[in-house]
Amino acid sequence: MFFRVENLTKKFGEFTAVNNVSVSFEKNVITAIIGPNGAGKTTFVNLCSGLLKPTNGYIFFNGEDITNYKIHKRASLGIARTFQIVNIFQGLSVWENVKIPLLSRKNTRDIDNTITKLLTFFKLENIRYTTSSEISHGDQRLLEMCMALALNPQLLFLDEPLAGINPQDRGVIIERIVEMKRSGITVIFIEHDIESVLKMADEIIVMHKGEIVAKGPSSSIKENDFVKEIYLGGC
Amino acid sequence: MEAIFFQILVGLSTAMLYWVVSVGLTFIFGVTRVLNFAHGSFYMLGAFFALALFKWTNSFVLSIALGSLAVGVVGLLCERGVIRFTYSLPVAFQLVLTFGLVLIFEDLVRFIWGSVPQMIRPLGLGVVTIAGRRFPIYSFVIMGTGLFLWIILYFLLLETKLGLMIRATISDIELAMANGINPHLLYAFSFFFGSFLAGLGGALTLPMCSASLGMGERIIIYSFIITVMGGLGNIKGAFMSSLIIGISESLCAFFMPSLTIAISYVILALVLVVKPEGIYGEA
Repeated sequence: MFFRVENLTKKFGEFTAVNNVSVSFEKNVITAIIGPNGAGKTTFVNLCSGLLKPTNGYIFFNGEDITNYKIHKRASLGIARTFQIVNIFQGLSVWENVKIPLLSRKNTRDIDNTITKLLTFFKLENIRYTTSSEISHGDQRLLEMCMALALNPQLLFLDEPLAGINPQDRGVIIERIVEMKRSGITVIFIEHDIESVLKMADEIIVMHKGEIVAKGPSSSIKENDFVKEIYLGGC
Repeated sequence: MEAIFFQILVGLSTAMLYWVVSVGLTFIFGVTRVLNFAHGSFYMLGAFFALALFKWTNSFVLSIALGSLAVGVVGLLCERGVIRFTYSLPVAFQLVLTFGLVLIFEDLVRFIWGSVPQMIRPLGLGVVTIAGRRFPIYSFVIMGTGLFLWIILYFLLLETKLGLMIRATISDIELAMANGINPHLLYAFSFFFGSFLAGLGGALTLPMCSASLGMGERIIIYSFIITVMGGLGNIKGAFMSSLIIGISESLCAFFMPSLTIAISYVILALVLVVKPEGIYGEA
């Protein structure tokens, strides 16, 4: 299996944020993680990307046990992520932001050319020399995804990529996520907007109180009674 | 008016020396977030290393270069040997540890060089007369070194890949790691480079004052004042603060000699009241 976790648990004192989760992800599939606030979605992604260390359990990537690998080591293996609140290097230019992940990649021959291609893909080429703190929120979100893509990831975690984005920019981001899958990247994303989730996701995982309560193709999850009750409000 | 110009010139020389040392402390803090009390000891080691090398090589330039590099290596060994284990611990552990290093280096210097202050023979660079007063040519060497360091740092940080990685790490360590930057390499480099600069500062003082035990205590206080005043970890802030402190001190020594020591603290207090985050803010 491409990416899998076994008995993954994260406790903060007495509170269990992720409770004994075992799940696997197939290559080149877009998976959405949904669930109410406090379900443990972001903690789960933080554990998978290496931002947090699990209390118990194991994480495997391409068959390799990466449980104890730090976030930069996981990034070098091809695991990238974005954050719930847009996280970019505010004082640096758009160009420099994209250059940083490229510097950590080995065998990046033509960095400038790669940056240009990435910025063009995300339609950011016209603001390449602008300081990233001065660009719009939607562009910052695109820049964050552009940086993640610059790591040439096999697996990409996106934490609420549409949060705070206007409807026009949402379309661009959704389009880019679907295109990433076409280029061979496995995407796992957290999202609250069910309509957008159904547009993008092949698979949906539903989390509740730190556990996975449902997993399956989008169509089946939508009809799941338990999911309707705890997340979709019985609709 | 001529006297003021002369005092500003003296102040510039002092400021550049403060800048060389304090930018090392600022650089280390910016990258690693460690407040390194041992920075003053590295300054002292720079003076003693250069002293020993000067006696051996009889070349001041060579002794400064090799002495500073040796201090850089000592800083690197301290980081790899002990300091790196405190990165994830509360800041109090780092303060106690680096203070422990101060005591160790003091005793080591006492053991090797003894307690008597030592000087090198005069370099014989001479003086120039400015505004009717004698001004040491060596002070221009210090000013030149400070400005050269500014150019080098500017080039390193803005024009090199390493500089971009350093700026990214200073800006947001967690994000830098998520983007594949191995922070431990940068931590090690920052300690090497920061300690090198402290050593360079210590070595540069040799023709003007003796190498002595405790010489690092005064400079570490000034370095902290400058680092805090400019904005923690902010290199531009360190440069500006060094100029302010150095020139103010020199002018104060002329107009109000009794307040010379107090002036730096007064300025720091005033800056922090108006801008608690420092002149340019924390990096």
